[in-house]
Formats: sequence, C-alpha cells, structure tokens
Amino acid sequence: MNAIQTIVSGLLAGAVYVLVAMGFTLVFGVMRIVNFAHGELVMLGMYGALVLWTQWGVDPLLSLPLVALAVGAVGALMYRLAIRPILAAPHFNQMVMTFGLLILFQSLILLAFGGDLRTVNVSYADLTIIPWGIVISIPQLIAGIIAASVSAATYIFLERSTAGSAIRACAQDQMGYALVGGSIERVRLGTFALSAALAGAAGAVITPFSVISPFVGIDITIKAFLIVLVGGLGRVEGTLLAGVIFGMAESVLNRLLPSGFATGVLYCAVIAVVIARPRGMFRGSVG
Amino acid sequence: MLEPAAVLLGAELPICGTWTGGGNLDPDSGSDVPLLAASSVIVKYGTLTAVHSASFAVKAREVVSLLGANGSGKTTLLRAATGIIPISAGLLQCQGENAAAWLPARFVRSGVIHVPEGRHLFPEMTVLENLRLGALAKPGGANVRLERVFALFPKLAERRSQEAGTLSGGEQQMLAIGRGLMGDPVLLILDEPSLGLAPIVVESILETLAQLRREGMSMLVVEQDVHVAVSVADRCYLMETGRIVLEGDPASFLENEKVRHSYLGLSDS
Amino acid sequence: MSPSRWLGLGAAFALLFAAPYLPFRTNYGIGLLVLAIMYGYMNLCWNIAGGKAGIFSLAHGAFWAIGAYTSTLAYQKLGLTPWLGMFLGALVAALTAAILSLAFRARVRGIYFAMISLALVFALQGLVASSPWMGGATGLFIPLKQDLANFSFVDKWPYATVITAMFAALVLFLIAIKEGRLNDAWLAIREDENAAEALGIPTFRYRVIAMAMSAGLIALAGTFYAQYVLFISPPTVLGLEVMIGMLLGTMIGEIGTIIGPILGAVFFVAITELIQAAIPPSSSAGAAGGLIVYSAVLIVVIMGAPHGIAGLVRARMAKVRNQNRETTVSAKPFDVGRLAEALKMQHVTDFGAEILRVEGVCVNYGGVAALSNVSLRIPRGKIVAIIGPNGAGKSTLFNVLSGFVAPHSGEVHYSGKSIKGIPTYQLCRDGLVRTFQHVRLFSGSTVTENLRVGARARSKDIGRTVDDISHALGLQNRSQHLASQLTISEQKRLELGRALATKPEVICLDEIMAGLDHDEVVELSGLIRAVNATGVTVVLIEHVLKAVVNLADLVLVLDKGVTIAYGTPEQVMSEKIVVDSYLGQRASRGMSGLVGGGS
Repeated sequence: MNAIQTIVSGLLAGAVYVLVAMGFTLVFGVMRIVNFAHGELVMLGMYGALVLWTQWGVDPLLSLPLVALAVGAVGALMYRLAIRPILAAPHFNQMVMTFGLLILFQSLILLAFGGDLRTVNVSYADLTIIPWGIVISIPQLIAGIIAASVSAATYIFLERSTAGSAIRACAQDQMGYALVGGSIERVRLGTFALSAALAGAAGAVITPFSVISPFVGIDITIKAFLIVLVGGLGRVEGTLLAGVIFGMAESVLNRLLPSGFATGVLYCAVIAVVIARPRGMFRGSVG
Repeated sequence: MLEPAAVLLGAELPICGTWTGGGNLDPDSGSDVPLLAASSVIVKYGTLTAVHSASFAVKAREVVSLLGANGSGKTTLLRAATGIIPISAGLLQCQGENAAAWLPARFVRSGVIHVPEGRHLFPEMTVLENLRLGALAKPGGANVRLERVFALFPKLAERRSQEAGTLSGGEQQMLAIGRGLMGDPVLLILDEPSLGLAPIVVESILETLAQLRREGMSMLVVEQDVHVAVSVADRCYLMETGRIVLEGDPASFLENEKVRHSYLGLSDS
Repeated sequence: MSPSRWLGLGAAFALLFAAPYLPFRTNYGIGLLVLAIMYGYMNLCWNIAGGKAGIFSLAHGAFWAIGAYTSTLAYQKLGLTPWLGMFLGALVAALTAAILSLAFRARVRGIYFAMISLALVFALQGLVASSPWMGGATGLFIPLKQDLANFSFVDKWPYATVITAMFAALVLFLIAIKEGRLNDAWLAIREDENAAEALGIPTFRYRVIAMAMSAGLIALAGTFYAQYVLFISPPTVLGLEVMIGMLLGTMIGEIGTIIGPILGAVFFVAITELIQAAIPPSSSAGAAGGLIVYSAVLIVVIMGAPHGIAGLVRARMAKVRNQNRETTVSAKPFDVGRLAEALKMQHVTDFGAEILRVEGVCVNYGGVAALSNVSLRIPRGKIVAIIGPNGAGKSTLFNVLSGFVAPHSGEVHYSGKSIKGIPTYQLCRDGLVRTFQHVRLFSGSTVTENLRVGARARSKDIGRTVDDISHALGLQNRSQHLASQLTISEQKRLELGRALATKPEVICLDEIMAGLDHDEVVELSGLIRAVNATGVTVVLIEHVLKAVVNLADLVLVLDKGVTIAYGTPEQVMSEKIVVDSYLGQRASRGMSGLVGGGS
C-alpha cells in the first residue's frame, strides 16, 4: 500500500509540475529564452492566493482564476519591460537578465512579506480519502486534478484554436509566420503572459498544502528546467511525460531518504541523465 | 527561339477563376501603377553593401523574373522589397504607397505575398494547418481558396493530414506556393522555387506557374536557374554582385553575352 | 607588459599591502578592504571560466563553499591545518567542476549548462543541510585558536595581508598567461567553438581546464572566508547572494579583463555597506533591500551596457583611438615572399602522390541522400575545385573531407590513414585545415590574436609565424584592429591567413570568393596560386566560376549528391551535363554554342 500511495502522490505532484513546466517550455519554444524567473511567477501565485485568503477569506482554489490573471498581467509587463529588450542580445546577457529578475522578485516579496514561512489553513487541509487503504490528501488530490485539467485545456487550446496555432507556428518557423502576415511580437507577448498565468495558477493550486516563502521560486524553476530538459526543449508532449515521471521519482526518493538528501540525489540523477542523453529522452518517441 | 511556355508544357489545367486579390486591386482598371516598384534601392548589412542601387517594377498581370547567380544579391533585394530587412536608401512603393517602412505583415495585407527561399513551412503542422495559416491575414473566403489550392495541387489534397516536414521537396514547394495563395495575393513573389528539386518536379512547378499566369496572377520569380526564369516570364532582370545589370524580354536574355559571362565565368582576365 | 604598467601595478600592490598598517586605519576599514579584495579575487576566478572561456557557470558559489566546507571538516575531523586543507578543498572543488564539465562532452552549452550548474548548487545545499556530520542546516563553527599554524588570527590585518597576497599571486598568474597557449585557446572557444576545433584546439579539454582551474582557485578563497568569519552554513555560503555578487562584480567591471572584476568588487562592497548603513542587516528587510538593489543594478547594467560599465568606457576609447588610425591605414598588398617564408615545406618529397582520398562516400540527412557514392582523389600540390548548383552536396562533401561530418558509408583517407574517429582538432594538427563559408573570425579579438590562435596549431615560433603571415596577407597595419572592424575583403584575408598560420599541408577553402568584386577575385586568386606554389594542396568550393577556371588543376562537378564530371576545367566546362546542371535541365538551342567559345 505504501508503494502505491507513493506513486499516487507522485502522480498528483507530477500533474502540478507539468503545469509549471508547460509554461516554461512554451516560452522557450517561441522565444528561445530560458526564464530563470519562471518559478518566481509560481511563488507570486502563492502569495496572491495568500493575500486573498488573509484579506477576504477567499479559498485559494476559488481565487485561482483571478490569481492566474493577475500573474499573467505581471508576466506581460515583465515581457515588455525586461525580456523584449534582450531578445536579440547574446545568451550571456539573457541569462544574467532573467537571473537578475529572479533575485529581484524574490527580494521584493521578501521585503513586502518578510521571510517568515506562511501557510494557508483551509478547513479541508487535513482531510483525506482512503480508497482501498491508500491515503490520499484531499488538497493534493484537488490540486492534481485542477492542474491536470488546466494542462489539458492548454494543450487543446494549442492544438485547436487559431491563437494556439499561431503560437505553434511561431515556435516552428518565425519567418514563415511573419510571411503569412502574423505578428511575431503579439505571439511573444501572448505566450509569455500565458506562461505566467499557468505558473500563477500552479502557485494558487498548491497553496492549501504548501509552505509559502519567498525562496520557493528557485527550486521550482530548477525542477521545471530539468523536466523540460529531460522531456526535450520546446516539446509539449515530452514535457508531459517527463513531468509525471519526475513527480513520481521525487515522491519515491522522499519516501526512502531524508528530505534534503532526496532533493540532492534527485538533482544529481537528473544531471547525470542530461549528460548522458542531452537531447531529452523522449525526443524520438513523442510528437 | 523559345516557344511560349503554355505550348511547351502540354495539357492545360482548367481555369478556376481569376486571382485578383479580392478588393485590393482591380487588374482591369487600366492602372499603370506598379504593384511593387523599387527605385535605386540600396541594402546594407552593417558596413557591407549587398545591393547597390537596384531598380525594378512589377505591373499588374505581369510575370517578371529576376535572374542572378549565388551571391548576386537577389534574395537580399527581395527580402528588402517585402519588409523582411530594411532598405538603407532608395524608394520602395507598393501600389503607389511608400512602403519603405512596412513590415512583412503589411505587405501581406496589401496582397503582396512572399514565398521564401527554403520555404519556411511549419514542419510539425499538417498540410491543412499550414494552408489555413496562410489565410491568417484574410480569413474571409479561406474555404473557397482552399478548394482552389487543392484543385491546383491534387497531391496536397491527398496528403492533407500529413506533417509538412515529412513531405518530399517538390510537395513542400507546392505547399509553400499553396500557402502563399491562401493569402489571396495580387502579387505572388517566389524566391528560388526550383532550388534543390529534381527536373521532373521543376517541370510541374513550371506548369503550376504557367497556370497561375493564365489565371491572371502577377508574379515576381527570383531564380538561379535560367530555364525556369525565362520560361514563365514576360520580362527579365539580371543581377550581378548587387547590381541589376540587364533588363529585357526572355528571348534576348538567352542570346545575351552578359548572361553567358555571369553563368560560365568566361569573361576575359 | 610595458615597464610603466609594471610600475603602476607594483605601486598598487604596495598600497594594498600597506593599507592595513597605515596609521589612519580603522578596524571597520580593514574589514571592508578584506571583503573587497576577497570578492575581487573571486570575481577573477569566475572570470576565468566566464570571461575567458565563455562558460556561464552558476556553480562557482558552490565551489567556493566546497573549499570552505572541505577545509573546515578536515580541520575538525582530522586536525588538518587549514593551510593544507585549503589545497584539499581546491582539489575537491576542481574534481567536482571536472565532473560537471562532462556535460560539455554531451554538447550541453550556454544556458543549459548554467541551469545544470545551478541545479548542482541546490543539490549540494540539500545534501549538506541533511547531513549532520557536515553541520546540517545549522552549520559549522571554526574554533578561534589565534594560531598562525592553523590559519587563525585575532586581528583583521593578518587576514588582509593573506588575501592580498593571494590576490596578487592570482593577478600575476593571469598576467603571465595573457599571451599564452591557454588564453588563446580559451579566446577561440569563447568566440567560435567550431572555428576553434577547425584550428586545432581540443575544445573539451580546455573547457575542463577552465572549469577545474577556476573552481580550485575559488575554493582557496572559500577556506579563507571560513577562517575569517569562523562560521559556515548552507544559507550563508551555499546561497545565491554570493553568485549574484560575482555576476554583479563582473558586469560592473568588464568581462574578460583583470581590472574589471576588481572594480566590480569594490562597487559591490560599497553598495553593500551603504545598504547596511541604511537598513539594519539583521532584519529581513535589510537582506531584501540589499538584494533588490543588486538585482536592479544588474538589470539596468545588462540593458544598457552589456559588456559592463568598464567595457563601455574601453569600447569608446578604442573607437576614438582607431578612428584616428582609419584615415592613414588600409590593408597592404600581398607579399608573396613572406608567404613562402611562412609556409615552406622542405620535408615533403611526394608531390603528385595522393594526399586526400574520398571513397564511395554516402551521407543521408533524414531520408534525403546528400551524397551518393562520391569518390575523389586529390593529388598533393594541386588545386582541386568542387563545383555544382545549390543543393548539390558540395558543403556536405567538404565537411566530410575536412572531418566535420562522418559519412554513413565510405571512407576518407588523409596521408594514407583513415580519418574515421579522429577528432577535427587532431586533423588540423596533422595538417588539414578548412575555412568556413560564412567568415568565422574571432570578431571581438584583434587581427594578431586571430592569427596567433592559428599559429598555435603547428608552429614552433608563434611570433615569427604571425609576423610572416600578417605581412604575407598585407594585414600588418591592421594588426591591433578588431576583426569586426575590418572590411569584408580584409576579413577574408584574415580568415585565410588564420588558416595558413596553421602551416597546413592541405587547405580547404569554402566559397572564399563569395561577395568579392572582380579585382578582389583576381587578387585573391593570385594569392591562392602563391600558396599552392609553396606546396600546399588546395581544395576549393566555389561558385565564382571565373576563379575556378583560372585556378583549378582539377574540377569535380556535383549535382544532387552525385559526381557528374571530373577533370581539368576545360574538359569539365565543355561537358553538356555540366552546362545543363548549371543552366537548367532543358537548355534551349541558344545556349549550346556558349561553352568552348570563351577563354
């Protein structure tokens, strides 16, 4: 039972990772920018949900749409002010820029809220359901389901809608997109805002069972990056599979090893995988 | 002497209507305003001058070809003429309006559609998706144009659900032209349509171009292959090291010493 | 370095050493000095990987921490004096860096490498924080023993002397390697990795050296820090503040120089003090405030001055300086005599024998046959041209015979030995060099630096070779100009010169005439003929047919991956199939009389 429990909890975590990684990979696909500050947007989502909870008692799961919208707007602003100017800059500059943004966001939140760890104590925080003896935490279950649904909706949006096709086209061939009369600039702005909104949604959805602190962002960014690297940069299908696997691996390792150790081992393992298969494990088999 | 392309190429395809670019231009209005005209255009990459003072014009219902060897600057000139790169000096006009600062999207909306060298298709999207994206700037009437593109290229209709990246070279070129047509052009610009294609495929592309010509489409064809360049054109330009050095009708082009020198390097010293 | 510069440097060091002992010193002031110098030292270390070799690493904070932890643990558990523990820490850090560098083998570059290096930091954070024997999350204290033998002092001024000594040693080391093999290799890797490989530089090896060296050196500073503050813990040494401090320092200064990072360190410490004066450091507001300022400054600098503020100043000064030169200097004509000097090959006796052989080579790219069963034998001392329409496979064949692409079937032999499995840099060292279609100069470096990298491949007397080649190509007046400041035709000369500086036996030129006007083509053809006259075998891809006809001894014509003709220019140009492939499949009657009529 323990093993299945671990796997289930890993799957649920994986769903959230997929949501975060999806935004990350979209930005890369369209703009070839790896956004060090992506995890900060998730963190903003958490704080957004926190504020709505403490001020107006709104449950994070209900405030999700608003939070996602707000973080999406922040993303749009971030794109216009900080990302657009460096799109054509050398990679080094791009890296320093998004790294600088990472620290900036982290510090602003630190200044505004202090470094204390916060939690949101919803009424159902400790509820569990126990089908067939497997203990599943309700908040985690809901988070996983919502994350999976939003990811699925995003995927459908990308495949079926005109705007979604525009994003995919831009990622595949920018010149071709410009020559059919499209505005690359608008696609970039929209993609960045979408990726931020997805990150914000992920933040809101994990708030009921997570520790909220200004320092969680970086960890999330690294995980998103490692997932995307394993799944193949810019490939949404690969990201999906890799996210789920990552969630499960983390869950298993957390069970077997003390917490800090698990992270250490997990990261080292992923680094080793990347060194061995740099193009992403799923490049050939998916999409 | 070179016979008219239509007779050379055998059976004609039925004319499915004319391509007049919707409401943008009435080709029978008798207007002499060129669809696209460049005057003394200079294009630079940093300190390097790729095009030195080139002038050309394409009028309605006309097929013009721009011939030149590798490195002659023809692709650069074309990119400048459709807003992909900026011009450093000179005049660029699209249907009479000053187009020097236009972005590619503006050209598309005005009916000047550029089918680029290397095609720039969306490789992981299907043929149908690629075509539909071609109508991005003019969604109205897209379905009608889609049917006509499939009529023109039956092979594409067969493969409508196939990913563009898996098509053969010739099919990709057809798709690129088809995508261009989906934008409802008044002027279709083709950059090296025969590049890397087998002779038999080039022939079928030529047939397509001839068909389009019969249907009233104005075209600017940039080519390295002399045969392709002269067989569809009403008028030809020759470009060499960034300058337009010759203009004339196809027949005289073939007889010309300069063409011979450009292509075989057989000038003296 | 000029005597006046040495004097200036000496004076600066003297001042630094003396500062902690001057009468008007304050404890606070010495503390600042120590920090500034330590950060300056660290920036210089990071710069070795980042500025010199072009590796953006976010793990150097971790290497610094490894130094601190290793020596502290060795001290606590084994009683090893930190003076030795320092070097143990450096070793561990260097090894860790080397392992991380394996990623380069897997073609992980740029930002991907940066992310992985960051992941390493967090992996270490997690591992250390959950290991009680390493102090866990609470950290380790270093006992204050006030003992020279154990690297422990009561006052601050001995620390200042130690760090200043380390700093001075590092600066001297960096000056010493300034025009050496390491620096040249790193320069090449940073500017253009492919060109570097083509010029005989084993890029992987030098990357590992850069990482290991910078990691080891920065670890020494980690030990120093541990002994100075007497407390280390994951939040304080494995956090990101260190990294951002280094980035800021390097950006404020200028990447790749010696002065830059130092200025940056000073600036960083200054800002830190100002902030701490304004806000008490113990509150989280204080910590945050500092970081906000650092990151805001970093962002602004990146947007406005990508090469750092000092870089801006230098660039402007260089522009002014070179503008004054513009009017008087231009490239000189070629000097064929110097060319012969540079390239003479006395040891070769088998001219005419086969030196490069391609046999039945096939290359497929995703189902499309780029080359089908192509064979070619190139005799030593000849000029062979490869021509054909676009998409014919010329570049692919070129890449195959210069060792850049491995064929799917078939073989390539150079000097009688198969080149299969031999890395490109080794081929260059064996005498086979190539240029690139789109000029791949090291644009941020001077003409001399470019030539020097080439000369490293096979010359014993680097300076002499550079001088000879520079004169041979008429570039001697442009030697201090940056490659990006040259005209197109000068750039081509430099690209050719750099390849010639490797003293090749076979040189492969990829569309070197592209974009040149008639006179320039004639001039360059003359030079190529002179190069060939010294005994160098020349293989050319060309579209400029006049050049081919005048230069080549033998011509290979490719079309759609298949050889359609091979022979002397006259033979080949009069073959109908060649005329057809260039002028279109169905040439009309008008064309039939064209060939054979010209010269």
